[in-house]
Amino acid sequence: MPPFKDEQILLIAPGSQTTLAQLGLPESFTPARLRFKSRMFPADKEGEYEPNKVRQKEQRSTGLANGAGTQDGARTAGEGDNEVAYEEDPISEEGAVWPIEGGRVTNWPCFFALIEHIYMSINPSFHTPILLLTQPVWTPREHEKITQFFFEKFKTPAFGLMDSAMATAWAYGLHTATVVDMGLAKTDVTAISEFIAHDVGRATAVPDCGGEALTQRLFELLSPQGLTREMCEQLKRSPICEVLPPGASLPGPEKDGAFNPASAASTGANGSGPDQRTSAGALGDAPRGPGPDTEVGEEMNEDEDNEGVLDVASIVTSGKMSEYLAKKEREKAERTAAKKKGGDAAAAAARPARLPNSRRERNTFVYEDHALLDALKNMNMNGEKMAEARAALDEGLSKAPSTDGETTQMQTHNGEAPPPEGTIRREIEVGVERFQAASGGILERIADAVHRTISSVEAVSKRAELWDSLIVVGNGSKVKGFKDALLATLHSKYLISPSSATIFTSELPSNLSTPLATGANTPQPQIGPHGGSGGLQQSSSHVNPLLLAATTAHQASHLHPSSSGLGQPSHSHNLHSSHGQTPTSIKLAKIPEYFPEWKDHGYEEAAFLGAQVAAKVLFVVDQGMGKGYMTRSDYNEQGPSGIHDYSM
Amino acid sequence: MNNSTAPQADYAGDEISALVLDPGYSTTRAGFAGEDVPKSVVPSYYGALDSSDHHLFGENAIHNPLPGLEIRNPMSSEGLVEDWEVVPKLWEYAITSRLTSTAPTHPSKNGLNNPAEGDQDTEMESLDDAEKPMSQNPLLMTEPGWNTTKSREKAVEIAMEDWGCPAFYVGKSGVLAAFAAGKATALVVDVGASTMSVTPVTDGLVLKKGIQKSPFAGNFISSQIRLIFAQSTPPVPLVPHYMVKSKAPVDAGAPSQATFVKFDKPPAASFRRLEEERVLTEFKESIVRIWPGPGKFAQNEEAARAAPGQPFEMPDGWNNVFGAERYKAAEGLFDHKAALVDADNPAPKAEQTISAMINASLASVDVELRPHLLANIVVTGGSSLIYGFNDRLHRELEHMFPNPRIRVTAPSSSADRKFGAWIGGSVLGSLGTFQQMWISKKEYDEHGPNIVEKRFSSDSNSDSEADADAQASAPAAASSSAEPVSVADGEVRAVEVAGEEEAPVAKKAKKSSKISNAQHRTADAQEQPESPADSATPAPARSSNQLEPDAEEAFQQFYLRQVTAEFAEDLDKIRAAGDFSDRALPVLVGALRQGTACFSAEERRRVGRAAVTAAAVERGP
Repeated sequence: MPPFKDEQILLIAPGSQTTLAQLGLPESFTPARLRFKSRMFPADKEGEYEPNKVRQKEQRSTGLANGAGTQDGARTAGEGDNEVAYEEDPISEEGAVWPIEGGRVTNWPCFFALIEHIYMSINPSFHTPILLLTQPVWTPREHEKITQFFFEKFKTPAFGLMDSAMATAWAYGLHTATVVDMGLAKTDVTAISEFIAHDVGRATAVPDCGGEALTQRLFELLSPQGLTREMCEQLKRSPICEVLPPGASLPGPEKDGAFNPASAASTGANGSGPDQRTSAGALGDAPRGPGPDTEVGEEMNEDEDNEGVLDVASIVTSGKMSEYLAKKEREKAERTAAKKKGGDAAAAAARPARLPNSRRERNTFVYEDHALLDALKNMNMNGEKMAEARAALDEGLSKAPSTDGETTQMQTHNGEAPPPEGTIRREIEVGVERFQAASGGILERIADAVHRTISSVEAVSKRAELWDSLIVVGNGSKVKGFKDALLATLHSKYLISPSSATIFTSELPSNLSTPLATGANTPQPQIGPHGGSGGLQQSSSHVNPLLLAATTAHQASHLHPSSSGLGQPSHSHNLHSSHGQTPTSIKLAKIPEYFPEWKDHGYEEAAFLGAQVAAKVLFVVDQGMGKGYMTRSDYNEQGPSGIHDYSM
Repeated sequence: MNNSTAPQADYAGDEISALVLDPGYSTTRAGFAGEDVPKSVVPSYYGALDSSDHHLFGENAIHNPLPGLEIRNPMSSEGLVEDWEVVPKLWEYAITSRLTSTAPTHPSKNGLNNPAEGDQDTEMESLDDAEKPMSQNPLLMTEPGWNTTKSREKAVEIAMEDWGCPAFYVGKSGVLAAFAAGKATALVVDVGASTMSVTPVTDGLVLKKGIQKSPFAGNFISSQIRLIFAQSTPPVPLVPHYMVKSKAPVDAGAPSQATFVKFDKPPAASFRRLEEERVLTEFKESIVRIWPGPGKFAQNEEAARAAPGQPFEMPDGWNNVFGAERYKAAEGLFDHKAALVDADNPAPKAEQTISAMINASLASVDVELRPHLLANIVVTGGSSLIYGFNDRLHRELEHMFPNPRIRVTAPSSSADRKFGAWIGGSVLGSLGTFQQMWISKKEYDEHGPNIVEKRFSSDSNSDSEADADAQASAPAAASSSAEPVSVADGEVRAVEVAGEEEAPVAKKAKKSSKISNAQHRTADAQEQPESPADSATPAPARSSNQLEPDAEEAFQQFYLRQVTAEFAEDLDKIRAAGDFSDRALPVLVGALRQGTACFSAEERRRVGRAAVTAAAVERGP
């Protein structure tokens, strides 16, 4: 078999929501080139699946017969009276089957169909080794099943499996780490030491601990205000949703003191409406100039909007479409007028009110309304009318280019594809609920899982190191502030403080007084079999404690700049504690920043980076010497169960 | 060997991996045979909610402070199954959640049988042909030495009928723990969560009359710690993690200043107890130690006080230094008078200390066997990991038995100690030679659950001896080859060869404990040429008991010498293999030794006698 080259390697990383894939390794590793939604649609024939939603619609010969021409992917148009047309709808997700739930494959035919779809759309040559990232929750039996599928279906010459937690550790270049992978509906916590994952006590697929749980919590909090689940999902993804560290107070109305005189003047608005709007514009994270700020405030005074967010989709479907559209048009005209009127004043007023999101009581985000679009499509509008309706409903499209340049908060969006053409955007305003996504106990659950996982590592001496290299990845953890909040939760619940009882025997505070010539203050080295259960204490027992204190005090001030803010004593040592208990310090691991593209993208998908590193090592450098992958002839000899000898 | 079992080619170790299930009071261990640690270790505790009949299994579920959550344990305090309603579900969870699959799909829909484009050979045999969860895996289960017939039968019934296992085997946990330590003759001291037991094992067979057990083990230490906390002034607060929202550092001994979580409806007391147990486990790991000796702690309390204490911090931030107290928690295991007592915690009796139990166990076995057992004491079980346990045990035994050589073997890795019986099962289940030992589904269908009684009960002697033959011939052979038996000149050299053969293997550093299938294949292949008619001639094996023991012994010696000389090169190769560990040694020797089965009783006697005579002649002048 000829050796594999960089450009031949295929990587696939299935996830509950998104499956990442990439053919070929670039010179400098980049985030996954291809992102597939992990879902398929049942085809007409039972047991078969289509990658996109196929909509069947009947077209009446009267009227809008040719309208569908603008829809992409329109395939067939039958002939005769009852013309049946099928169209592929790349956006709609109605009726989709998601074969992976909580990391676990729940629908194998669909899962295999998904993999096949991915493979076919990449269409690699036959001489393509495949590395598949596995979810920790997959069982050995399932690994065999997948191996069998790949070899029999694609005739792949070489195939390897790699645990995604392990891949994350590779990406970080750490041989010992605790990987917290927060996915859509679950979190996996894996303790890895010396590149070996501890199976015992590994918390796989802790339920209700994923991004979905955050959305759910937002929905619980906001559904009384009329927000739908989809809105909450987008709110979660928007930069205004943050997780504050436990104990941090929520911004109240008194903090958000800025009042928009311009909007008040222009509209005579009362109450909080204009006030809130100020913040949105001033923050600049809603991609609009400060001008429209006031206009929206004005809109809020419309009677229909008083009850909060309207379900436009229901209006559309209920047939009051034209009235509604007309009204929207009117509003837009008014708004433009108002903009001319109050634009400058508003801009001036908004500027001093620029506060960070975390200190505002209310803020807005832009909502892309797919449901509405679906509803429109289902009404069989023709292209022209559709475009009109869209333009009327879309608030986002009318935006002025952001003049503030204050787009820092937009960076979480950077990695994502721009919204497809034709989406309908609306602005939605929310209050302090946006800070409470993680208030449903999710931080505590994950923290408990981390504690449990590390505590069940048999070698007690390794636990300190595991606590010191915590890796939080997974797109569920993307919400701003989540990682810090998790770290703070771990600190406040599990961190062992230096005991005051032994402080003079084993741990010297950094402000220790200078030894006198009489020897009065010279600390005595410890005597006796102190420690013993872990190597850590023993290593310290023969060292002059003064020296020890000096070095640790030095470290403490440099390594834990954040720790003093968290209310712990500044002399918290990790290695020199007399505690047999862990953790005496908890730290997030740092990722080496070799890859600029990854740096911009964020390291939530670090497992994929690790897979790239591993693929390079296994397929190109190592060429199978280390049994990193299974070749086709290995498979022919050993069958699917042989994969256990090869997987990473 | 059991001639009732036809060797079943289907279950050759490298073809289908057997599942090994080792249920215990605290955790249930499951994994594939041939691996070095169980992949699936789930708590035996499970959660029950009033609102539903659905039970909650696994770490993820039972540590969630749900309102009204009750924690129960289906095992009895003796480590036997008590609740047969729940246990199968728990076991099934342990196996399916991490090993096999929870949701098998129908083969027609598994995506592999799609009509392929073109004429590719994508059609395969169905991957999951069953609604039954374990229809592909033989199941090897462990049981404590004192397991009841009824519960053994129940287990085979579940495996065969509910799970559809193709084959079943049950091994005594004492024997398996000895195997894991590479021994077939051993005195196994197993300190678990609910039970401490002493099991004499000889040639892979439990001597049932020598089994001693007491309820003073890990849970006992926990309750001792609770007593220490309660009896100290002021009492030490034991607040589990889930009740604490955040803690603040406080001075040693000062009351906690943590903020607590408020529950509308708190979980049941049993949940709190389980969570407290986690804190106590941490306490045991980091604080508790056993007075290393010499002598009892009671006589040395002053010395202990001089040693520096170690601080412990509770989940609510309370912390203090534990000095001499930390020796008290486990002292009751060795010194019944030292145990802390209150109304709910009666003191152990004098005969329930470890040394007394070992003594009683030894007293009930043959006198000749005792030195062998004392030289092979195997310590296993998670609670034996308490710091200083082995030193103290060794000292106590030396004190009690001044003369014979005492050797306490305990794996240094804590995983090996925690999962001793499971690892033994894993080794056994992956042996090529073991594969004919299974009870097959067919046999079960013929005989009913009663079959386990016939095959595995250590009361019925003949059958179990046959078991012992097959299971653990190995170390017997190893030890015999170490004894220098001088015969004729040529043969002396052969003995040396054999001796060299075995000794370095035994010493060989443990590189990887994973036993590769490839190696078994070699071991099997080794056996094949020697015993081409193995399966066809079960008779000689059966009649082995009738031979004169001398002649039989001599024949074995002779045979092994010949084989080792003959296959010296191959053996070298096997030994040099990277994954050859000391655990694999018994496998290899056992495989070699089984080659004797292909000679008829008559042949063996003749050769054996000749060897004995030759030896006598040699010694004569």
